[in-house]
Amino acid sequence: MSTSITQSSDSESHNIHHGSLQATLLSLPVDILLLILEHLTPSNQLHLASVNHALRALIIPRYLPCESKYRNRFVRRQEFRLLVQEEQRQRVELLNRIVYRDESGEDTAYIRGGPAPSIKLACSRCLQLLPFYHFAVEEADKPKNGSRRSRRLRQCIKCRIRLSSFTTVNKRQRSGWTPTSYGGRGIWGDSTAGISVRTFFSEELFTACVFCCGLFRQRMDKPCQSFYIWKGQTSLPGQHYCKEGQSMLDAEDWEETTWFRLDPVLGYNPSRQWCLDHYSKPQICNPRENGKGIFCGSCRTFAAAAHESLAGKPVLLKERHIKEPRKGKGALCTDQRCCLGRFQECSTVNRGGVESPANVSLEWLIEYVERRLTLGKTEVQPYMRRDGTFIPAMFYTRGLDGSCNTGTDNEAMVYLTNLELACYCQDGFLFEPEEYW
Amino acid sequence: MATPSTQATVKLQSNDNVVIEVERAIAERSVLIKNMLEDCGEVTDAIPISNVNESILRKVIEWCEHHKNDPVAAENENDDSRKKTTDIDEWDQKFMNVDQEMLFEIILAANFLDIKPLLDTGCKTVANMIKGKSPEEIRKLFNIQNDFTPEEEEQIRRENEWAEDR
Repeated sequence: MSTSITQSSDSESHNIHHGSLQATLLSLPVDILLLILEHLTPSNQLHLASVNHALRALIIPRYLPCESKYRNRFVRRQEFRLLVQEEQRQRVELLNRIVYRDESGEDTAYIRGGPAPSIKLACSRCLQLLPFYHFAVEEADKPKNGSRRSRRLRQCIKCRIRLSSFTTVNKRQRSGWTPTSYGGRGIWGDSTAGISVRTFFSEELFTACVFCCGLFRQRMDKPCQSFYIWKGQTSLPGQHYCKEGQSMLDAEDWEETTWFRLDPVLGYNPSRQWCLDHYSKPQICNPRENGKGIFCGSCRTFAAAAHESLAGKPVLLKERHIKEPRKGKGALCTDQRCCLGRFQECSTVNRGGVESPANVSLEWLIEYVERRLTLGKTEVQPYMRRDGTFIPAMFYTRGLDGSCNTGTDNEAMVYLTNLELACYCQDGFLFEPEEYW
Repeated sequence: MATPSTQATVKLQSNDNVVIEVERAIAERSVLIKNMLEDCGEVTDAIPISNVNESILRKVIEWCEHHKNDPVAAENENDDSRKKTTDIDEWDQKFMNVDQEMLFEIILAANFLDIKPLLDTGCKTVANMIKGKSPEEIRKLFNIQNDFTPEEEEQIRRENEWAEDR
């Protein structure tokens, strides 16, 4: 450095040493503070505005809406907008790497370049960038195909399940058990089918369990375990096979003082009063033996002989449910596909819905894929058309040795979900199909 | 306006009366000094930098020396991309790895000397320190007194609850 230092003779001048007054964040001039604020995201500005009065007075009128409800909305939307910008950048990068078989840009031949992390999409609820397989396919496509509103509201599967209202046995409010609202919010509109999610992993749907809200895969080759067909057309939440739920169902410790709840799972019970009216009808409540079976007080159907072990067990004993408790009136059949699965004590409550582990089976699957990614054995990317939309139930994998699995990925997932996941769901990973990966 | 000088070095005098001789090209990274030299022509006396002490001035000169070959940003360059990113060059990160007091002094000096890139780097550094921190962590970091009453704090917490719900 070509500098030389000489001491001035006029040492008494400039007696205000700038450093003598300690410089702090708050001592900076306002124009510099504003420069700093321009580099902060709205949520960081919100945090800074909550530090003290001076910063609050500086930040909120200039950068954030003064009304708190608008401020919060503004902050979340701005954060999401920034995430979407990053997401679009990743999409463009991936599109530049994809080589298509045809001019239409529908069929991916292969992806150029070295292994890269899976592209991430923005969730408007948890405000995070998550790998694409954390989203339902229709949600993932929203930035391209949906309206501006739907783009804003895109949510990852976990948030979707956490915040949606759907029929479940676990929902309770302060006033006691209340009928839950029907149907998933937008994932699948069927008002009685709960929530089903179409993922990138396979054609088969993952459907929310009424007990734990976890996502279980609907098998195509045999009747679904979490759902059953009623009247030959409607999938209704019934039995579930998550371990906790199953053990709860298997435990025959139903006591007369148990708080039962009328669950509107069949779509018959829009209100508690409606339920009570029907349960109080003698032809339903009174078990009528005919030598072969019994009428169930819950599903109002005739229980076959196989259901008789618990048939006749008293239900609706709580005073709050009926004005005059009548022991011995009503019955539950033991068919786990209908009655028992619909009576359950509340565990925990969340204002937005049910607080429970989400994505049980899907979570395992994602865990499995991410483990492979962590080991650096493969790259996983969605199949994406040239226009930026995704192709459901297919994704692209490639080993580090450069071997590609284009075109066979759907088969891979069928293999994975039908064979391996089935084992994993029951007992954890029993084996890993190394030969495939 | 005076004719441009061919002078090779200029002297800068800090507010604690230390004179530092520095190459003119380096000194002219400061728009303030550049304009002064252009207006005054040949300057033999030390230019007083009244708001900056010796240690800070030396740091600023160090930064100017490292960035002497950087292209000078256009006057009207105020694009969004500059604001959005908080990425800082690796050398600049090390340069700004100083105690808070010196960091703020450098920012003030850059503001006074009108060195926009240095000011920008300083602001980004402070912004990066704030990012991802809760109000309480920011208070601790910058030693800021919490002057909210408990009622006000509760109200702010309630107001921010929805925004924080993730």
